[in-house]
Amino acid sequence: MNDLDKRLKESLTAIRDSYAEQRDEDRFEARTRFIERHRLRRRLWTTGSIVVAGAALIAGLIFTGDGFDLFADRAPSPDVAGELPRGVISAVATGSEPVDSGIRLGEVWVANAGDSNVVHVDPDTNRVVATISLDGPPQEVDVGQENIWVAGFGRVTAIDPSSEKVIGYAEVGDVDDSISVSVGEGYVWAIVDESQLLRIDPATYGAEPVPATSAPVDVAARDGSVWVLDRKRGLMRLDPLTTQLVEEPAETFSRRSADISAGGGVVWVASETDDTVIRFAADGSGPPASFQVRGTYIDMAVSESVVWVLSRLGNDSILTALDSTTARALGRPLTLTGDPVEVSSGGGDVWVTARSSGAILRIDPASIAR
Amino acid sequence: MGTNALVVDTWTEVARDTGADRDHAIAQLFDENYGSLCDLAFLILGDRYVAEEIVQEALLKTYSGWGRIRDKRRTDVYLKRAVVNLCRSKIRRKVIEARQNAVHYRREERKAPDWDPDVHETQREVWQAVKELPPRQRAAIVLHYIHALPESEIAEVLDCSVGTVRSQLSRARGKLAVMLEGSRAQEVAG
Repeated sequence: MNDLDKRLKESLTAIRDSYAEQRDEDRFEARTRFIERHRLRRRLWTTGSIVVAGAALIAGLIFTGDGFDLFADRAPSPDVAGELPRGVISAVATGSEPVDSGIRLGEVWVANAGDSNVVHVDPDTNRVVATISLDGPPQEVDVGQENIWVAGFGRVTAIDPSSEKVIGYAEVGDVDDSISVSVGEGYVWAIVDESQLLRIDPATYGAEPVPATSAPVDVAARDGSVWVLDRKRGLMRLDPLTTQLVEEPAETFSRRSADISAGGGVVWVASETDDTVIRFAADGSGPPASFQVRGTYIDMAVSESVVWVLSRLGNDSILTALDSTTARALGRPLTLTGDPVEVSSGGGDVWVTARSSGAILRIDPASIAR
Repeated sequence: MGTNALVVDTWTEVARDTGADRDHAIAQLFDENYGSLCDLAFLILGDRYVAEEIVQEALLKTYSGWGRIRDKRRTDVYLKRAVVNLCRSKIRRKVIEARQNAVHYRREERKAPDWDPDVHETQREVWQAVKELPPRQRAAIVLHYIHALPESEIAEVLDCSVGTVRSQLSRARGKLAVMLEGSRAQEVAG
């Protein structure tokens, strides 16, 4: 390759890369617009075909004199579904690289890692109504009765939803540590780098380690218990006040389990090794029920009657609804696009965070039945 | 070839599919080709908004004419050809459709587009020189340097012979060498 070739290749590649970066920011909008355009053309074509067919039919009637019902063989109506995939009511652009969301009293809070902020989405209008800047990229968000809690850049940060401002934070690790957060039983629970579980006092932001665990991966505090998935010890149940171990349920669960959710006397554990979601009663009554996820497990959200499981199958992302009492699939799973990474539910709504699209998708829970 | 095989598998079902399945197929076509086609159109036209409109148009045309495509595993070539032809046509006509204006206007409200030429003087010179080339030579240069296509595939995309591709590339390189040398000489003199 001579100098000219090298100069041309390097310069054009740099220009292309710079353009591609900007193009990708608008990709979701472009994709939506493109599909709308396709549908419009299809509708026009269908309408045109119907008009031509109708004209031919009328002409035929005039010439033959047969008096049959003009509408008996009417063509089916063109597709009039919205511009979004089945089950998606709206796509709300939230910012760059949304990674997690939490739902609270008619409010949706979304953490944007790319923009280092948290946005408040109003589900009544499906619009971002407030943006709260952070000192670094958030990794997770969870909502409590009082505050919104955001994990990331070495901290667990509290946001007051009324003033929409950061009101304090707990230092829990280094800037680059992976931090997850879960609110429940009067405390905020943080896992730092899958090596330490901390209990944070929401009033003082004081963080104290929970020594009962050694390699925690996820935590859920509900119904008077703190449930911890630990890579070394399996499933653990702790007392939220003393943080002492209450019990280690029988080793029904893989130590590679990834997610845990609890509520209504039921605990749900997702395993990333065999892509299963297991339901069991918190009091140990009755046998566990298991659901084999379609594809690779990504995330789950537990609501009163339905558990939403997000998975990836090839290029598609699948959202499956499970009956919370039987762990059996309900209706028809939804196929989603936009690189979904997380699902949240609350207040009868289900939201899916689509990271690469910079959006959060509002799902119609009833659509699984259609 | 793998991704195109997937598209073919999906599209063979289109005739008996529902509207939702057709949406899925067209979305898949978009996902697999939009980025690389936009790069091609942008580097030929130098205008991202017109480039992206043209790519959407090319995708829709290829999709609607799917039944007429003989070798369905060469979809990428058909798409590139459609984009290059639309770009050349756009350059000739220099007509910006009202819809594109509307899109352009709406997007400009949100943010200032494009790469900052002052920051990258060398790149600016090269791109300026490339934009001086006739559309066909410009397309050949982009397909060669950015898409790294062999001459035989460039010929397919440009719908011409391999010999023509060689001569187009050779002429383009010659012109670029002169233009870039000229700008460098001006720089030294200045």
